[in-house]
Amino acid sequence: MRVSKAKSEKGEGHKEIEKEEQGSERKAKSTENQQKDIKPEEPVLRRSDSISKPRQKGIDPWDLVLRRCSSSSHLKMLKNTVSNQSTSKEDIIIPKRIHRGPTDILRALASTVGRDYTASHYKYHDDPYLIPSSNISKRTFALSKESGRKAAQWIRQEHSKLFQHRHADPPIEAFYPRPVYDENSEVTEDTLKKVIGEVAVSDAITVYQLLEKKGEVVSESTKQSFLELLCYYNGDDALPEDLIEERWFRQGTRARERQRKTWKDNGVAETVFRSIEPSTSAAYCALLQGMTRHYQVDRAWQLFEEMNHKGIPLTTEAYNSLIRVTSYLREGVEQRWRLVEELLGAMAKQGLQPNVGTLNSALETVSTMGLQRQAKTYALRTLAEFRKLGVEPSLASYYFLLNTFCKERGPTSSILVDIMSQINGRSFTIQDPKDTFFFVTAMDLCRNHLHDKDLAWSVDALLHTGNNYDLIGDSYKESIYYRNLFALLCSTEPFEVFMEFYNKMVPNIYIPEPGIMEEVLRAVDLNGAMDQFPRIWSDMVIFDHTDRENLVTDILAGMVRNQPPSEDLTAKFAKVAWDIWTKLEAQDQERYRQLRCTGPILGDVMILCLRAGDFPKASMVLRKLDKEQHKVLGVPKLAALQLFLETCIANKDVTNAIWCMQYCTDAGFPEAGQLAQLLKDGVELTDSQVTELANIVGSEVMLEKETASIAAL
Amino acid sequence: MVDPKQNPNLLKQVAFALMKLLGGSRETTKSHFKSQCVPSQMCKVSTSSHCFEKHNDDSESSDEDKEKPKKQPGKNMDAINKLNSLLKSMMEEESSPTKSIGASNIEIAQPRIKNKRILESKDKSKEEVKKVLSESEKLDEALTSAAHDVATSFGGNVKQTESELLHKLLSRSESKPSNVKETAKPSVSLNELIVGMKIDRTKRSDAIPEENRAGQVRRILGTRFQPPSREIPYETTLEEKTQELKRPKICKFIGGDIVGSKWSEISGRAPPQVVGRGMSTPAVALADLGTIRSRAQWDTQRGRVLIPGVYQLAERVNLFDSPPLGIFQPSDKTKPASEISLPPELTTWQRLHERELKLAVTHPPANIYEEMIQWTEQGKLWKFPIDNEQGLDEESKVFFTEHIFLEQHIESWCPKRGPVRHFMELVCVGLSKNPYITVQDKKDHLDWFRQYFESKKEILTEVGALAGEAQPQTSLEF
Repeated sequence: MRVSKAKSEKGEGHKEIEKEEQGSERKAKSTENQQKDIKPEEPVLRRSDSISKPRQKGIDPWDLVLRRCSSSSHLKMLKNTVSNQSTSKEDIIIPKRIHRGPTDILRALASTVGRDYTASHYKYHDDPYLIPSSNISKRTFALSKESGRKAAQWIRQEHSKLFQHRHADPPIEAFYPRPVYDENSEVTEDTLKKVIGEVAVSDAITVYQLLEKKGEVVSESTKQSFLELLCYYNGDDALPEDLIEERWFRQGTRARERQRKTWKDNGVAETVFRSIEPSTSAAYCALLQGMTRHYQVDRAWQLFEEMNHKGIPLTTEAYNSLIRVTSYLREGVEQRWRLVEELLGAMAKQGLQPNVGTLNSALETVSTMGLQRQAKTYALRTLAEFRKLGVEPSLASYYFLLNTFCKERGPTSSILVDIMSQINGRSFTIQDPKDTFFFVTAMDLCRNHLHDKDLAWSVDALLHTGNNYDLIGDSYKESIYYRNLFALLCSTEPFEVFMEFYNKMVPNIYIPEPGIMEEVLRAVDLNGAMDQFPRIWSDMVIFDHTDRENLVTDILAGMVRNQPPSEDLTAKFAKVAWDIWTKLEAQDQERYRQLRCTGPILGDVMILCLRAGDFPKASMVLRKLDKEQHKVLGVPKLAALQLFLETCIANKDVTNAIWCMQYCTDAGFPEAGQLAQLLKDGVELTDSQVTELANIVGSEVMLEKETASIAAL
Repeated sequence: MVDPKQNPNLLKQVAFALMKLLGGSRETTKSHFKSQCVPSQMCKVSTSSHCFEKHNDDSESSDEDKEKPKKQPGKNMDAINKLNSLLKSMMEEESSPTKSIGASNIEIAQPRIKNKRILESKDKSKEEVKKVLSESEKLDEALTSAAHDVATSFGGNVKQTESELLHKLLSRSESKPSNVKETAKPSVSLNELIVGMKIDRTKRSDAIPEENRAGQVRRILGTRFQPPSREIPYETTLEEKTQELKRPKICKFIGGDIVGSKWSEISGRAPPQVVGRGMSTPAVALADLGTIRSRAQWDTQRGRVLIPGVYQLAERVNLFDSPPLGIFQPSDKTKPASEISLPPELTTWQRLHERELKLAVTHPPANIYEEMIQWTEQGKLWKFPIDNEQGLDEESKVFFTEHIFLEQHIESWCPKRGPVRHFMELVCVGLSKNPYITVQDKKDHLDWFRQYFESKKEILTEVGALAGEAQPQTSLEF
């Protein structure tokens, strides 16, 4: 109550109150008459004693005037405050003005919007036709949208003369074509500064060269800035900031690619470095960091030794970058670690305070040390050291720890449990580029290393804490994360729980890859949750999985194994089977990926049709089996043919039965004889039919059986 | 107590026994076992054998659940004790009434035969199925009778239902190989493999009589094995709890009990890649392994078995309790900054680094507000709170009076009265109301008029426009 009142009044109220207080004190000295008026203010007086003692000087007439003018309304307000305040005699603390940035309001609004699991992502056009339903279409749609944007930008750039009208004031730079710099451009040092600010690397190089040609002197600070830009990006242009989708869908394999030397030897960066006279520490550090960043480790080390020789101090970042590439500088665990220690020692000697980057660099080096037992000790000791220094590890530190402790071939380590108990419920901000690797690795370990669903749930909960979802990385990492989570839950959670999760996440958050779909199918099969088959099939159709032979085989086999008790479901199964059949038949022969027509698939389709009592369809399938034996791979299961035969017998359909027998023999089933026997026993055959049957399966079989049956009698 | 460390021979024997039980993965097990005789690692071996054992129990009888807790390896248990008591429990099993009958002295592991047979039977005719049924009846009364019960309760074609039930129970080993396709090379399904195979039934028919596993172990170990002196209480592990959780609630349609007992294997299914690695084995070994794989996460590459919860046995790590390196001293503020030779920070580098970090967490906007945030940051949108003077940086330096009170600029040259004065005052009023041009523009404008009137001075004097200017006492100098 009190708090809310105080809040509502904090705007004007407080100011007024303060004035009242000052006034009232003074009046308390001056006139008795007025003192009656302000009796209820006594607590206020006491309170204000503490704050406004120094101000007790003479009476300010202005205050008095104010007081008289508005006493009635103010008194009321005061009384309220007083009655509220009388219980606790605390100071009113007027909060400082919080500076709001231009996006703060938007951020507050955005935080109220949760993820809607029933809708597709915001970036997709909200139109049923344009909502993507498979992983490929998700990627295609998003990138198409962005490439449309890119095409527009290209047009604007190609015809830049047409887009110079400046309607808006101040002009919106993002809407104008970018200036092109060539030999004829008028450039100054400010231009160079501007393009460096815009992170336009190639433009900056052009401008710098123009300036040099014109013989203009570029100041040392701009040169240094230019050198840093060149070193950071190795003289290549960076991906423009606004291509968010492209960055999101860029495959995670790039990181691995960059592990080799990409530094441009004797490139512009080194020329600029040489042109800075005398070479400053900053220039050395920039070049050193550039070289380590692009894995020119040998020359970086030379540079480091040169700096040591000349007594040039290094920055923390430079040390960090050297520690990060230690594994390229030395062979063997011992030597590497010794070098790390040396570098850390050099930092300490220089009086530099290490930061989280130092911690991560050291841990990254340790994580490359393989299965060595010492690696774990080193990692933990490093962690303890930095804890002592008050450096909190970032998610990347934990990622490297996981890499150190949980090796593919190493013993199982439950360090993830300990890490999770440390960081549960915390919200992280990005501090290291590798921070985005944590969640995907943790989930991978949950599935393949520890196989623990509870841990997986807690990792998932952490991911959804605060803004941690930003740290998922990119679409590639996200889909691996969910792939692992799904596979794990599919094999550990009860089926109902898993399906609930499946219904929530699919298809808007995650679309199962064929591998996961297979797991799901198997789970459905093993749980006998046969009512899920039609639903899974329709998902498969939507996700474009129907051309996967193993999935189609699996779902058919599953439906055959789980014979449904109800007519309804049997009919649905038959429908699914027939759907598969139609897809098989209607396949585009030109397509690269084709669903191969295999015996088992056709056999299962046959069984499902027969179970639903659809004999004509089954005989169509058999006809295909029979007529296109060269196309069909393998033979159907015997059970399919047997069921067909049994149906024929039940229908007294001898012609089809004999046809089926013919196929059995053609396909080389050794059990054909037994089936023939079955047919013979089941239906009354005419002589010609018996002869025909004998021709098919061989007379000796018939006779043998006959004698056998006679003998049995 | 037998210490495996001191008795490598015995250890080898045990390893051998376990290897035999595990069938195809002989090499890995052996090397693993040999290389890891450290007691702390022993738990893994015992775990693997433990799982295997459990699998056998499951297949032998469906009502073994109550025996499980006894065999769960305790979390903090000494590994050696575990191995010993495990072996002991194996021996005890023989006396268990639920065990299969007819132990004899031929040394092939039970599941191997059973599995192979029934697998082969899959593609045979109905008679064959019957035959196998009768065979497996010998092997496994509990299972078959259970299947039979269910089948009869279904009514209809009892035999078919029964065979399907058994088929269903074994479907795991069939479905497993297809699992591999995703990760490994495209492999043929077990079915396809077996279809083309010639089956030698004669050998099969003189079926090697069963030997109880406990019997095997006993035989192999001979008299050397000393049972542990006292019974070790096993604590129930997390695994068990999870196993219980995992029992399916619906096994309505087919053989509830049987499916139920199958569930423990289902839940422990290996992830596809893990299984994939072990798949290079030939078909027969594959059939052998089928059951093992199904029971536990048999990872031949890592040489260990993954079961939910078992990792709890692994050591816990205290992340921050190790001795620090002792290289750095916690920042001593006493040292004045000047003493430390701090090199200058690389500002541009820092800025670029921050830019990269920011871009790493900038994802496609998830709602209109996030999109507006991006637009605002790109400078395409008005900043909140809306300020219609946004970006007018130059103008904000100019006070409004300079825009409005412009007469001061004409005082110096304009006549005090007369038409020129009148006109110029109107110009000033007009300019003072124009928000679109800068103060400098306004001044320039006025200046233009000054020059204009100056150039027309003669005409103006002629027509008398300046005539009213009685005395050019002040500024009208032109």
